[in-house]
Amino acid sequence: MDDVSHILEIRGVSKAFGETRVIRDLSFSVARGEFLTVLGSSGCGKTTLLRIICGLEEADAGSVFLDGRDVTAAEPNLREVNTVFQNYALFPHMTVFDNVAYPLRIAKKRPPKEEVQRRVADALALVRMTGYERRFPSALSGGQRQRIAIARAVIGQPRVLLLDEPLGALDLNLRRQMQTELKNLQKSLGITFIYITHDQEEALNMSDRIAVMRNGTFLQIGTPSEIYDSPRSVYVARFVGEANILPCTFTKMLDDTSAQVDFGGMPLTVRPGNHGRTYRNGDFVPAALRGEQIKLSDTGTFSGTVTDVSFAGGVLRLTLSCGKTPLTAIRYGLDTSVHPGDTVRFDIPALAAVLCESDADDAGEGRL
Amino acid sequence: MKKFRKRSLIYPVVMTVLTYLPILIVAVYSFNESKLSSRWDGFSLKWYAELFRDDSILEALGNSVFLGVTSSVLAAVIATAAALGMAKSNLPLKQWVEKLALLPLIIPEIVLGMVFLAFFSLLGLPFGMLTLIIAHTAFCIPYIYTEVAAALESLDYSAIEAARDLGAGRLTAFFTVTLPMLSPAIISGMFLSFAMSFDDVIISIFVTGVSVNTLPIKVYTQIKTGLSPKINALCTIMLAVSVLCLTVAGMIKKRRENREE
Repeated sequence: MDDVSHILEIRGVSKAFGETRVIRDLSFSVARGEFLTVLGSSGCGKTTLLRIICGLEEADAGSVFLDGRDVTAAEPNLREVNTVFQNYALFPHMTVFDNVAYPLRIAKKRPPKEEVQRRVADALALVRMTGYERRFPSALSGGQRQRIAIARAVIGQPRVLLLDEPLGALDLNLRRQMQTELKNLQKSLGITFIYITHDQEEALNMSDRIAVMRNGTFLQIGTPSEIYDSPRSVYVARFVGEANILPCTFTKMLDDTSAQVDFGGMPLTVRPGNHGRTYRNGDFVPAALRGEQIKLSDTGTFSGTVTDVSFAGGVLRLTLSCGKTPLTAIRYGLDTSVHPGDTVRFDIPALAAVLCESDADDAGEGRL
Repeated sequence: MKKFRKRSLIYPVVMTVLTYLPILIVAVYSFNESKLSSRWDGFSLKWYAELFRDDSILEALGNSVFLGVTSSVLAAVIATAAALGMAKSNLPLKQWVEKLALLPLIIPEIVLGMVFLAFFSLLGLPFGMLTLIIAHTAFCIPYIYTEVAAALESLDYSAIEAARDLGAGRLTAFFTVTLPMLSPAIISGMFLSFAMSFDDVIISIFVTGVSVNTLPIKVYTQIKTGLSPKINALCTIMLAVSVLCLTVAGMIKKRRENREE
């Protein structure tokens, strides 16, 4: 039976273009009103996944359930899913008003003229574009087109709104502002959002859950803090919030939630992670450690040589070389006492690092 | 530097004079009071007035307009459907088919005329307006096809996908988004073909029957019986219509390009 607490369920979906397998046997479900971000670099299959959900692409295998109904073979116009396209895809021959009113006007049950006018006005107010009704898309800026695309996509009250890198073309300031607005919009509309991006900051900021996608599958799906604190694999750790990867040797489990490993000849207490793997003594295993967890201290257990100091806003990034392992330590506030070439001592707090899987099929980027 | 510029000016001046002087003279003499083209007796509209009193010329004008409009509309439907089909297909012979479609633009008109004549008599079609329409539709297609095919190249297909995503069925999406986005190209192509149809004489002479005259055929047969200022007036009107059509076609194209930015 279908679980109706899920608004969207993907079961075993696969898709190939010629020889390239773009989506590989993907299954997941999205809860009502959830903000799910699919995070991945370009070419990971995230846009194809989105097109399968909205019906513009047909899956080779698997099913798509929308609110308990199998829509795998349904035409895109018969799915209560709307999309905000990457390039906005506004109708160039229509005014802003006509663009936003479009879904209402072509609907089977076309609402009366007054209702169309009221709902367009509401939708434009929602994206703060009141007063632009009579403009053509060509007379709008990128950010304004973005807002119109969103208004047009939500006016028909879809069950799920898909957003394909909607902020990709905007500059940084506008992007930050739009992130907040989108999040607020999602809360006020109560619509489920599936948001696609390659920007990990966007993903961490906005989502209820993040799915990290690579080579057509989800490597990990979880809340932003789960993904950030307990990345399951080296790729996830590096892709989300650029973690340090410590090459460790497994010693023993201490209890269910802690394990002892050897890093650079020193014992280190780490979290074993929740990926269900068991290790034996002597196994090589990478551990992910966030830069802000590295505590510089004169009495620290570990030592390293500073190779670079860079100051970015309120954050100081120290690049250390610890044996052969490069580490990036993050410190807050301005600290002028450390210089390249210095040897510093530091501590890694117990349970700060988490064991993760190395990516076997890596072509380099995630490898140790 | 200045000398060089003066000399280089000669060529465009010669070119312009050669092209436009005869046109200008015909246009000017269509307003001549005198019946003789060797004498200027003063400005007059009497030849135009006479033109519009001549029933056979008015009938030919009606025929020409009807023929031009009908064949441009038919050609627009066929060419648009063809261009859309071609854009979607990935036939291995696509490039060749596309070249074939444009061939009528370079085939000598006299050949086309003969071919149509032979073909229609083979089919046993009665020569007259019907054969004129078929022939004109056929040679108008490439003009619209090239315009629409070019518009399809730069068409934003994601707008069509957006329409489908927002609830439009295939037909609704076609009529509310695809067609309006292509309409500037279709309309400018139609103005172009109207101009081509309106001044065609060679093909028309081959495929028309004894009873149906178009305006260009009328001009041609009138000249046989001697030049008259009335023909000057007729030519001037036809010239104005053609220029108007081409200008409108150009303006529509320009506007489309501006909007796409």
